[in-house]
Amino acid sequence: MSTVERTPATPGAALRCAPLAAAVFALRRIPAAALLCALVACLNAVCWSLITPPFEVVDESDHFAYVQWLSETARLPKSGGDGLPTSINPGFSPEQQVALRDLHQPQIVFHPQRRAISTRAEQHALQADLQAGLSRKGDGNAGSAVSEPPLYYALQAIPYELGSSGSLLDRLQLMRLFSALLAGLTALFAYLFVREVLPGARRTWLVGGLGVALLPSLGFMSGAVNPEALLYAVSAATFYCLARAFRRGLTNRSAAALGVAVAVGTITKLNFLGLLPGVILGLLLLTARAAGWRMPRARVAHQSSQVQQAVGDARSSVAHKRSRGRQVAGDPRSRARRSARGARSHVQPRVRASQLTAEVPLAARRAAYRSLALALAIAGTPATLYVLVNLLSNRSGLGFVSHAIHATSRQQHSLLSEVSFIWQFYLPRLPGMAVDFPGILTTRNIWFNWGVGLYGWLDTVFPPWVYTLALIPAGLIGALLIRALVNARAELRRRAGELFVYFAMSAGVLLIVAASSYVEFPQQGSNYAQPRYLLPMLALLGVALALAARAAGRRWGPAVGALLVIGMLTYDVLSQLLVVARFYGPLG
Amino acid sequence: MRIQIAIAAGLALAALVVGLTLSRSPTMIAGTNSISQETLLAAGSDFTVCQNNETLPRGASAIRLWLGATIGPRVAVDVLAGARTVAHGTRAAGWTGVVVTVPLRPVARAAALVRVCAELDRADEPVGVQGQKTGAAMAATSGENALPGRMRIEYLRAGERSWWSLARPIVRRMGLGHAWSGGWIVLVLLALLLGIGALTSWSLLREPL
Repeated sequence: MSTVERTPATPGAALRCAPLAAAVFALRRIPAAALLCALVACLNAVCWSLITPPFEVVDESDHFAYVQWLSETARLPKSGGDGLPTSINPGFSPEQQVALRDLHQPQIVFHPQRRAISTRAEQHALQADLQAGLSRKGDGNAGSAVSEPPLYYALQAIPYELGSSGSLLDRLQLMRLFSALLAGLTALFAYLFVREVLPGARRTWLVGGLGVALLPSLGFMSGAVNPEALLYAVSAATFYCLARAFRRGLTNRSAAALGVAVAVGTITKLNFLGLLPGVILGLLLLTARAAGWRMPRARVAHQSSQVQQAVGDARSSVAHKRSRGRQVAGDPRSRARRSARGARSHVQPRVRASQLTAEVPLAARRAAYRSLALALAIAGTPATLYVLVNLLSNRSGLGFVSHAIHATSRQQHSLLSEVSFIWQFYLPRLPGMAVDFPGILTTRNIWFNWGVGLYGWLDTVFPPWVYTLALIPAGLIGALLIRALVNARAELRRRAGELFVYFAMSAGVLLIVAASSYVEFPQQGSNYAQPRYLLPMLALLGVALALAARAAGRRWGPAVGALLVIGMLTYDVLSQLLVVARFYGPLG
Repeated sequence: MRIQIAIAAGLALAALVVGLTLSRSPTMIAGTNSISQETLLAAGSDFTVCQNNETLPRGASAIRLWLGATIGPRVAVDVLAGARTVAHGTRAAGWTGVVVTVPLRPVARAAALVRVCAELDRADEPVGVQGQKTGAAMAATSGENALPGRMRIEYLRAGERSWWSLARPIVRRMGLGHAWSGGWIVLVLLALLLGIGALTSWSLLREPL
């Protein structure tokens, strides 16, 4: 269909169609490969949602209770707590309690030798009970989910309402499918992030995007009702916005986009707060760069190199497209022209004469500060509103966050012991440190092994030998990654600021997870030792896989990239089979 | 051309791995000591729990102990007939749940009236021992002390049927307890998985790496 055919007949129609047209235009600007990654991630999460029995994903019963209470009463849950999932929470709605009972959920959780319901009689009893018209209102108890911000649950109220005429299982499945859509967003932003971070390595973008899309942990978590599905998506979006701003400069538009991503993240899950220090650092660096805080000569040299790189990218992109001779949509030449135009538009802000002079004009500096203020204002709006609402309703300004701060301040340990704990939470103990995890090498036993496979209520694992075997591909990918980093050391030095921002974001996530565990130390030191909490850094995994493919060189890189993706697909299928065996296999 | 070969080889290898996995047999319970797991008998770390009068079935390839932890310590199991070790196995630290399965080298012959000892390394949390209250004479021991009862133990061995041959009952069970009932859901799953595989391969070919 041509552009002329799509033009509305009247001005009124044009106005009505404007948002739609803008949306279509925006969608068309997304690379087809990114959309493919999104589709693969989405379908994969749908598979996981169909395989995993209802409420057999960690904390899913609590998150469902939150959505149900919010949808039925339009109020936030009132109470919660970390009750054991091996008993049914009496604060849940009668409908959910009956569903949990009939599905034998409390008996299955943490008992990997027990199976999901397996007889027609159990199925009939479940269906009969769910059709009995039991109340959908409990007493507002959402278990461990009560302290979470409401955005994800508010969004989940849409599929919940859409399925309101069906049974509880229908609503749960619709909610799971909504989460699956978020997996698509995660993969999409991961691909776009890889594209921004490695602009000269076009051939590896797909490896990064598909690698993330096929990651079993992403499918498992996003195939369930859990706010982490949105957290992963918004975290990947935040990484992408920052990378885009580092590559193309901080503008009002990119600042607003970053601000929106952060705002959405802060009202999605508290873990997102871990990314904030890195994001703020990134904003400051971008502002400093745009406002000319750098030494002028260095800045000009830096910008010139960026210009050359961008022009090189555009040329290679155009040449690549010409050589392919087959485009997904439209005439190849027009696509190439669009690409070149796009590349020039990247270049444009950098080649302005005023920016290449030693002094940055006042207007440019003001624009930089305005962008910073815009990003911070948008990002800070939800938090400000939250504090205001709390204060106006005579509660502690920081609400649930203040409980965590209070719990931390009650700790009798020294700062040094906390640092020691956080270190050992991830890394081998150093000489002189107290033994916080006796007999356990957390790096291997928790983060590697459980990162390879930990499903259900964290009770579904591969046989031990699988984790040993997994060291081989992981080691090979690690070696390739190291080679890529060594090869690109000059580039790394040039982009040290940007890399430090990603490092700070990752460190923030690691710190917030470890510090949450430390609150319960020494009674329990490992409650949050779960690799799923590190998935907000998925975009970086995409880059790692892309770099690994690049490190194999021009000759073998493409084959290694293809093998990496097929390897991830195999790993995903085997993980799904593991879950099938755990819940539907013979008693064992 | 290299990409086509890599994709074909990768997919062939994937099919082989999945095929081999499904041709293995799931483990099944070869025997238990018929003790229920109703009571918490003890909780602690860095201890050894021993239990007499157990029967190790023929072909047992793993032993499942009712020990619970969030992050369990290393567990070493010895099955003793008098002073002779009939079977031995270890499970590395990092297991989680209310049971721990320790692999053993499959035993050729059944052994009755054996003593099972599980040695637990130090942990950062207490490890619970679940079982059933019994008299002191029958009870498990930890060092010199008798526990209030016996720990539940299950003995596992490889089943006789492969996963392939169990496909039909598994498909039937997968159709229960979900929003959409029926074995057809597995066909949808297979179609989705094939679709993912096809999309992935196609995109790798379409976007030359």
